[in-house]
Amino acid sequence: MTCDEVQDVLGAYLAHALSSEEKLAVETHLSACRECKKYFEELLSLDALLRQEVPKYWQGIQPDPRFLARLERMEVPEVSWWDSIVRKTSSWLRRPWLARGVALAAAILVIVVLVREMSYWRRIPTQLSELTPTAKQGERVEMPLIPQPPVSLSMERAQEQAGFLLHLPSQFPAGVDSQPPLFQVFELEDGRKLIKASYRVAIDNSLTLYQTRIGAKELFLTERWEQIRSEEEPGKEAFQQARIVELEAGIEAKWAEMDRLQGGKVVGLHWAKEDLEFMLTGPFPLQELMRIARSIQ
Amino acid sequence: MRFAMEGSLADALTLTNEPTLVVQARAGNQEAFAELVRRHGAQAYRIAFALLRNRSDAEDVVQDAFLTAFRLLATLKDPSAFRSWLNRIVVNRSRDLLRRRRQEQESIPLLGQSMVNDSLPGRQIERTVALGQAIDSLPELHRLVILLYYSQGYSTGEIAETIDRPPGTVRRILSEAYKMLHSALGKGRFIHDMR
Repeated sequence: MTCDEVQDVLGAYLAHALSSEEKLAVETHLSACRECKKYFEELLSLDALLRQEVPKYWQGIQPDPRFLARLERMEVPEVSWWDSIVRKTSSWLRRPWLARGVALAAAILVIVVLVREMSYWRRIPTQLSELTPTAKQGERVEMPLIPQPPVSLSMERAQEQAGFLLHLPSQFPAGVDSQPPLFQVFELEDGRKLIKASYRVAIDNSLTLYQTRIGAKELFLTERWEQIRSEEEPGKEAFQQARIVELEAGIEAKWAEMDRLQGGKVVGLHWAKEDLEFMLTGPFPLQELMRIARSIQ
Repeated sequence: MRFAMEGSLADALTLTNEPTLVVQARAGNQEAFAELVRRHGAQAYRIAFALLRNRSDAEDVVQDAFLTAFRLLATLKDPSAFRSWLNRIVVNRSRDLLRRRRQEQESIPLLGQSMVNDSLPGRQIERTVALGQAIDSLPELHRLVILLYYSQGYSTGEIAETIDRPPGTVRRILSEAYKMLHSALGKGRFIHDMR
């Protein structure tokens, strides 16, 4: 033990509140350290002083006798109906047979609810398998978007919109620094909707790139255009135009950076259903994304 | 809810053991409740006052704590634990009030003077006052832990129950309190006088 550690526990040592191992460690240190020994001796004197003086201090705290008399005579209000229910329930629950009965009923209820939930979840594979894959891995698909900001959705709303259940992991694989998936709805020029479930990754300080190569350029630019439009700058229009050109020129470099992060893999899975395109993307190897996709099937 | 009581019954109550009193109070016996107040009122007040350092706040907290205790008596599983349970309510209520009042009210000097006895030699009076002031200047939980330990002979386990903290925390508070007192008393200037 170091001097600091010993001095931190000397109070507990005085109060006989240390384990036998800790006590031995303290005593061993004290026998070898003059400084701590001196501090300990001062604490012993302090302890003696406190034993002598504190009882007087404590007795000096005297309640007003009139207050105590008032307290004794205090009219305690009738216990309310709610308190009586709590009181009665509490005393009933002390009866072992009743407590067991309540526990059994609760367990049956939990099992019934779980069975219902499980049968609900079992419908997922059928629903997801009804969807048609609309692109091969690595294939670049253009999906012209109506240039307007996407609408963000909660996972529950995305389930409603997609017409099937989604339950995506909210954590990245170890080593990937990012956030839970984001659900967004985009309007496509052909009248369909695109629901994008994306795992995001920040690739520089200014930009969160939504990883997918499937319609990605359009998605990405739509988001960035909206952001640029909202910026208040002098010479706004020329500035915005310059930013967009800069952005388009830089986008290939961003993809290269994403590829580097993913080990060169393109990661985007998507399915179609009538008027809906559903896309699942993430900044990790394809294998990992497949695993996530399987987990929702 | 009050009812008349024969003197002999009141006398008998003072001899009744505590768990029985608690059971009687739980059944609505007001006199049993009054006896619990007689037994624990002053101690509850001292705890509240040690934390709050304000007479009227301490009275409010203690009254409120007894009312709460009476209402919740049915939830107390072990009647023999009434004292530490009540004290815990007092500590929690006091600390709630302190949080609300901390910005509003100046605390008053407590007991530096109350320990002084005029017949003591000058140097001893000075040391007693210094110790009282050092105790007053401790943070409230540290003050209460030191007071309960040295005036009531509470074990660290009992203190942990009273202040509703783990025993390890009480050990830490105790060690910190010693350090603070040691430092406040001039690193041994008064302490050495004890030798």
